Amino acid sequence: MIPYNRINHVMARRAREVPLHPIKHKARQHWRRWLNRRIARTDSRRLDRKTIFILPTGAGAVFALLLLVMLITGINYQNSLIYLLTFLLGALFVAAMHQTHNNLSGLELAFLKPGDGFAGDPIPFRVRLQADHEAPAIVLFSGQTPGLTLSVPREELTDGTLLVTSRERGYLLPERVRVETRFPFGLLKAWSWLRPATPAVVFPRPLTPPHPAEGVSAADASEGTRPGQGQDQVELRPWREGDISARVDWKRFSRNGDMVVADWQGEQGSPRWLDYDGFPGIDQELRLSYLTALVLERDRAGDIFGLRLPGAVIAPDQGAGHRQQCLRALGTWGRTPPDEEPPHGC
Amino acid sequence: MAARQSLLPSAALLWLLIGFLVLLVPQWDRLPLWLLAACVLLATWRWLVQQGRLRLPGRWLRMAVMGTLIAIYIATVRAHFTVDTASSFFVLAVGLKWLETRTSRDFFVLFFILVYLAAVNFLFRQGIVWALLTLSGVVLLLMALQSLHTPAIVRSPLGGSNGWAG
Repeated sequence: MIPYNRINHVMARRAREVPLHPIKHKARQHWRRWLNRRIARTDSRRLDRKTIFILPTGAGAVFALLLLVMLITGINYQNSLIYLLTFLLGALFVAAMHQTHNNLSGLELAFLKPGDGFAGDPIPFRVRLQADHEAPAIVLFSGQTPGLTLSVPREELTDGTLLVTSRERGYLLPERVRVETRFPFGLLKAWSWLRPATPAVVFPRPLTPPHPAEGVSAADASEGTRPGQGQDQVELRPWREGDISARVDWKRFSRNGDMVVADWQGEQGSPRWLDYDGFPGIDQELRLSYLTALVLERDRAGDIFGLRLPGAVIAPDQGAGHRQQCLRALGTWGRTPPDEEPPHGC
Repeated sequence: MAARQSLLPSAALLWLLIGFLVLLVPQWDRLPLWLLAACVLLATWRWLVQQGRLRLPGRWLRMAVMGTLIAIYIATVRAHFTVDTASSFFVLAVGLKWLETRTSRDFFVLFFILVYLAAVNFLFRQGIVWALLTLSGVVLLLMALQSLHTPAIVRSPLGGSNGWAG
């Protein structure tokens, strides 16, 4: 089964390539396949001779043209100093080629734990660079401009955050991240690609539901009141060791010193549960967006809540860790993590 | 458009300006005085823009400056086309280009013209001192180009405040 986001990706790429000539298209596919074979998916890599590409930039081509014109001028006027200048600059171009290449060569790049965020937001990927020589002006691109420019001092760790735009929820893994340098003169560019292996998780875009979920309405109407004595779904029982302190009814405790715990055993449709089935007849992605908004809302209010998705239940709890767990569950629900080698050309 | 601040790093621009002035020196006795004065004036204008004290001219002002200088040039040359007049036209072109140096592309154009100006210098002066002066001018140009492509080195080694470049 091809993951849903991957299909979208492939379709988007296809749509982009429609105007391409079939032969060009084929060539590009071959190129990609060759590249993917050459550059394995991995979170940290040391750039070496085999994976660094180098070509003159547009300015480099103009520079070559300029040298040619200078050479012709020198020949025309039989001026040896112009020859000298031309050949010096030619030698400089060759030296710059080595310097540009060496700037990338031996550079170690590692993707740290990827960040997360909501669909449509840029998702941060932390990168760490290290080199046994000084490596100025290293630029990382992930498909869109502008890139992230880093200068790596000798034998020092340099961190940066690469932002990758997300389009929809699920796992996000940039197909290729381009590492480029034009140091020292911008006449040549050397580049390589990285293919990170650990995907980031993109949460659904939160959308406040227009009406409360079914079976929750009664409780939501009295939002803000603590789970009180009067509510049928909540059973009160004496405090036992191991109960979460947040569940203790502290109001009652302050009144008469009883440690009473609000207990919700087997309550269906309780306000504390955010349920996927609470929005029947609504599009799946929309439901997840609603649930995301509710998770954020509950978390902001400091409530205890659980999340129920088909095939996944997260027990009621609270706090940042719990929120993160719920959001991750919402983001990855129904999605399979990207496998080692993505399908080619399908 | 004229209101937009310059994106070029000051260090790169400064090296290029110095390189320009050094490369003008071998031509000082052949160029008409008004042209030398105009070049220095235009280069100073560009430097003041970098300092934030002036603005780059808008399209009309630029056209006016260009028209005036070229009119003066044509009036003085009067169709005597020689290598001498060609090279002075070249210097005029460099001087005018300073007024529209906004992007790194313009910077490259200036760099290329100035390198060729260095080659042109060799047509007139071939003494050892003049040759060394012109070559050092080219070195200055290369330094300018390098500082254009080297970001201010490592502002914060860890945690990178320059990390959020997006």
